[in-house]
Amino acid sequence: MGFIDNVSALFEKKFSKQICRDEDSERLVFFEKFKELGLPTIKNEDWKYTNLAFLNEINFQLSSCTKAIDTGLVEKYLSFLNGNDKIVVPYINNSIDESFVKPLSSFDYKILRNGSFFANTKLISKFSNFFDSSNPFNFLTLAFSTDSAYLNVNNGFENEIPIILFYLYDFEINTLSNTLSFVEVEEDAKINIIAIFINRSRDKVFANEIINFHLKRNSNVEVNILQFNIDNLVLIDNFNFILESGATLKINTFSLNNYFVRNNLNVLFNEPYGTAFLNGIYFTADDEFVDNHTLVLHNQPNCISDENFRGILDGTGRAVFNGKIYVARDAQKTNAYQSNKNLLLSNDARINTRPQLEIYADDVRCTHGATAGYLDQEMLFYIVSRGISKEKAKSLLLNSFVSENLEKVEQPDLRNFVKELVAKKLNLEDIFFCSAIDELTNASL
Amino acid sequence: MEILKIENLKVAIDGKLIIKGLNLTINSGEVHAIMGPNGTGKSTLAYVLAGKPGYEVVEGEITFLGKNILELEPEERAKEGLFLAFQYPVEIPGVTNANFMKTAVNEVRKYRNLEPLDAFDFLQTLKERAALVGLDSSYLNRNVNEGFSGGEKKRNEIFQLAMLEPILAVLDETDSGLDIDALKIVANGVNSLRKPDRSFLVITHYQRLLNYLTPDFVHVMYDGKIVISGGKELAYELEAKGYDWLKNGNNGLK
Ligand SMILES: Nc1ncnc2c1ncn2[C@@H]1O[C@H](COP(=O)(O)OP(=O)(O)OP(=O)(O)O)[C@@H](O)[C@H]1O
Ligand SMILES: [Mg+2]
Repeated sequence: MGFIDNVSALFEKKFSKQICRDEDSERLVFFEKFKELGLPTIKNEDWKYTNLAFLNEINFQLSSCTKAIDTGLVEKYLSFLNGNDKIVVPYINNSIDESFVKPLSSFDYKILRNGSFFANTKLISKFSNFFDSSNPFNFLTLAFSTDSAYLNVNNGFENEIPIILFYLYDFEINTLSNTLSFVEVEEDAKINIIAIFINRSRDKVFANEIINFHLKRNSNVEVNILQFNIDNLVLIDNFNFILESGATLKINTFSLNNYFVRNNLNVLFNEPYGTAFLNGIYFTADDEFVDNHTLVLHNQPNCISDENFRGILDGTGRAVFNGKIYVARDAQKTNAYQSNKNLLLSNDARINTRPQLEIYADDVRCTHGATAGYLDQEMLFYIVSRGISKEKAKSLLLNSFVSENLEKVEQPDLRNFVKELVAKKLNLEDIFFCSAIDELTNASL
Repeated sequence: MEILKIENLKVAIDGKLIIKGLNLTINSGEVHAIMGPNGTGKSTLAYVLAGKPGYEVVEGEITFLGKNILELEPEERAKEGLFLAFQYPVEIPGVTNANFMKTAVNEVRKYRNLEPLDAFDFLQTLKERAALVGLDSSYLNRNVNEGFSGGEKKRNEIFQLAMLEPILAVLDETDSGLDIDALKIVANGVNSLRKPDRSFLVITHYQRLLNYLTPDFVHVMYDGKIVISGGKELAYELEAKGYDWLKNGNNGLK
């Protein structure tokens, strides 16, 4: 039937009959725009190595009845926080489940039900600042969007308590999911976000999620994106950030076990003196695909961006890294760094890495580098010469390859959790987690 | 008891013969020194013993504790009790010394049917053995050899030797790059690790290490072969006369 026909039929059925409602006519505009752009093909530069043709083979539905999810399940997935305080925004099957939401004092927290976002002109105009009109999926998300969350973090709010954007998919048919979120971080506020994507569906889910952040002056935001154990999920997430003067952003992505993931990370320096770190780790095994697509727009002078993505590719796993850095003519004294390193563990694994630099200012420091290689044989021999098996030696080196990026997570519970996830993946738990040696050495030195 | 027996060993790298018929026997508790000019194949011998890939054994046999070690993987040789202190230790970023040794010691103990050490005892042992070569415990939490000075790397090799308690330790120029004080510390460390059931094969260019270690035998390697063997006095003679003395066809070279 084809993806476009598929979603057209869904749109028709769900919205066209009630087109008299304002919001639905808005939806129609967005949907027409989506159809106009169409499903991107590999001829599209932004999708050059990311073939979406497989979407044409799947028949998607919109979720009608939602399974009840009990709070216990969410707690289970968040048990790595060791019961510590957290703020959870739960997107359960495409809608925000209020029963999980605790009252928040330092936040202005709104849930915009089923399209009521379209009635909020203030938000719409804010949203347009972020909008990448060349990405058809942005229009698709708008056309189908269900609940939206709006969070406003008060001036000067500073708290270690993480805010969890919890995406849980548990459908019984092939389903589309489309949500929008806004996080407005007021001046001098500091927050820590953990976005988690979990799929429990046995059928395919195609999720297009948009998460927009506005970092006001001198605010400080860390966003950790966790993607593991999400078989059957086709995920295109769009994290968009606008930074004002003095704002600091730190993004860490962990794509550890995925069917298909496309991370769109867009950073816009709208005022001078902003700083953004974009770090990522991805593992791909047989039939897994991860695509990190970053765009850093240095529109203003004196900003720093620093990207560091590392991938380990095994079996027939595939990954893409596309990092675009744009430095406008007036963006003098820009510092922009980019590094993408990959280790290939099999002859069938593949990485396409592509830095794209567009620099129009002259007083700029900009470096980029991409590598794809195999494990260092000298290191491997040194380790096995101490009696450690070759398998374990490899794992130690792989762990070492990503350890720098694991250490970058500030929230301690999360840092331990991702370290543990990676150790488990590499069969190294016994070294890093089953004995008290680390604590002992750390404590007594 | 015979620990290591090398018979008529010939080794090639990329088709080029480097070791050209070498014989050596080491018994329990003995300390053997190998001296010889640069490029004669001393490190090649050490690597072949440890099982480094890329070295082709063209002829000959190596028996370690009665087993043909050429059939064993490098990690199996280590578990059997062979240890190589590298001439150029390798940096392993992202792996701490403590974790590295914990992993190695536990794998070796498992192979020898010993219980894994409990965390507290292990930590004590780590600290003790690090102190033996003058490394304070902060080195345990640092990544293996990363950013270590040349001398610290060499000490770290002997620390690992102490942790792994081998039956045969091969020291490839552990003394080079050490200052006089460090040499004393390392040599005393090695001395304290000497046991009736532990043998050493010490590759060195200098008499000064042998002053501390007192070898039972000194061998001179030249152009891929052992050309002369003797007692500890041979090292003095060599130091006095230089390698030209050998090249001129004197003594053992007949
Ligand atoms: N990977 C290699 N490829 C080609 N030749 C090699 C390789 N490794 C060693 N060789 C050669 O083998 C010979 C012996 O080298 P080896 O390192 O064993 O010498 P050595 O006796 O340890 O010297 P030194 O005293 O300088 O450490 C040298 O000529 C060296 O160039
Ligand atoms: Mg050498």
